[in-house]
Amino acid sequence: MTAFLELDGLSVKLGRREVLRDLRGTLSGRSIGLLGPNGAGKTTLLHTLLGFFPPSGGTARLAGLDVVKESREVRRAVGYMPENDAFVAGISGVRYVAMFAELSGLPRAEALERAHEALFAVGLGEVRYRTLETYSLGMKQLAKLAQAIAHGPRVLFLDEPTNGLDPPGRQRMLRLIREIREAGEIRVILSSHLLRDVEECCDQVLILREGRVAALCDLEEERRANRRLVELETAGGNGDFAEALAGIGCTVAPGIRRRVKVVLPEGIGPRDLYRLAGGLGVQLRHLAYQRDSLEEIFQRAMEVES
Amino acid sequence: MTVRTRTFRPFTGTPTSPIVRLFVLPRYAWREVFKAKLVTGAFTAAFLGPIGALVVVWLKHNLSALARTPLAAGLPFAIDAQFFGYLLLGQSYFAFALTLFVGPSLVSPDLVNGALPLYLSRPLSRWQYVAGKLLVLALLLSAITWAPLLLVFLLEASLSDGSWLLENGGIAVSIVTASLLLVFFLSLVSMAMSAWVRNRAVARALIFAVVVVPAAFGRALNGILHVEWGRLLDLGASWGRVLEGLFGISLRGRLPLGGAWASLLVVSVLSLFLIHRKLRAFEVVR
Repeated sequence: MTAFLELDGLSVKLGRREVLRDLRGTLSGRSIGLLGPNGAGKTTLLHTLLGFFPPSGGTARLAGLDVVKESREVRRAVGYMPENDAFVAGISGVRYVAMFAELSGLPRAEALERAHEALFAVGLGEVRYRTLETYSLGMKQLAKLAQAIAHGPRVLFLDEPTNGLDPPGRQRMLRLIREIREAGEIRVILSSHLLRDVEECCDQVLILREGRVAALCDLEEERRANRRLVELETAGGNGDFAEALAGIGCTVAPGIRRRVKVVLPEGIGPRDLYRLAGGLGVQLRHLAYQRDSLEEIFQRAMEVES
Repeated sequence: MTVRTRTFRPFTGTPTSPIVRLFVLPRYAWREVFKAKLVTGAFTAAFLGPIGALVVVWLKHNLSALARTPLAAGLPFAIDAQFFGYLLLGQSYFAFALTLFVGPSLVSPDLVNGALPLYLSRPLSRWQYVAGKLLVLALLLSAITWAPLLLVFLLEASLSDGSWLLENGGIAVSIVTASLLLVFFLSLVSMAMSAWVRNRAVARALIFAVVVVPAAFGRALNGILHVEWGRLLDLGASWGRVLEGLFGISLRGRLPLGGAWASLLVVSVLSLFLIHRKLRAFEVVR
């Protein structure tokens, strides 16, 4: 897959403080997560890509565009949902979205049509004529998402999109992000300190810590690998099960209390394991795929760094 | 297409030009501006002077109509540079009042509500944003300064014989130059104050203070030190003196013309500096 976000020694200084240091990496996922604890530099990286802060060293390219030399083209291609409140006082939801679509270069009529569409898409269709001041926090987050997608950007920057949302609101926001990603027209860069949000929406992750790249991982790859790694707990049988597993090509790592970790070869699935166990009179009391891979990767990244 | 269609399609049409995008900001702002009855009232009242001037010019050339008014003996003044100078001076009070009402609501709410990153994440530079916001006030003030005064000038020129236009043709240039100077100066100061304090009410008070407080201080200096240059701190007087210079007339000025220009220039540069420092997507805390 072609590189989508290329960081080549990118450094950013704000005042005398170096906030991003020598970031390097190439990401090509449809949906890229920027993960890290608060103050890691995620938002600064987004702002640098948007041209708000000039790099003090190195370069960055987004969708093949140099973020410094071709800043205007980058901003034309991007839809940005900021972390904090970002509103225009006194105007209705539909005028708010339409105005920013027009500022992105859409003709007036098309901007208005897309504003209506975007507000319906995020679920604010019925309240689109209300002024933004009357919106709840969750509605304001959705309105910010609507203004970010209305002009049909090629890239969507989402900075902590689930901030301040209650659980149903958060689920709704994550579902929308997944829908946008799966529609296939927009690439997403999602910045969050919440592992779950990133895990649910992204296929590649850049983990930042104190302004440096702590890890860069391909979640899709990890998921594929994890689909091959299962943990089993058995009851009954006389120990032949492990040998039988090895016999069909599995790699078996014994665990404690009749638990084993098994790496499945291509073409072997859980159904085969049940069939094998049934044939040997072994009960499979527990079968689970490896989970929380991102959490492990994140923990590892934080430990390695410290 | 129904608006309920859930689509995330990219825009494949031709993007609008930067000039068209620049006028998006004033278009959306005006609708909000005229929601305030006070602004609509002040804006309407600002046309009374030019309408009165149009009537006077018309009467001057319609002696039968003039005979039915208390001015039957003829107009006690000429339609010349002095007439247009006074007219513009009067309009500048309305311009200042409108600036007080409208100016602070242009930038302060964007700064308070964090809207600036949204504007600047578009293909719109910081200075284009500033220009767009300046246009809101600039076009509004233009509508009550040079535009109606030029109309009065054109009416007089069309009703008089050619000699009037030959003698007074320069007045049109003076009207436009002096008005644009006033419009630019007021817009710049109001934007700088709003960007600085970020609060509408405080910004309004500050714009008023910028004009009134140094003027009072200057007058006190004149009184104590028995000098004249204290009036240079009076921005209203400086503007009046510059207007006199541009129209080639004398209304009330005792101020050196160069000094008046310099005081307006200094305040404009300071305002630009403040705008440059304060209007950013994110302020870096050092």
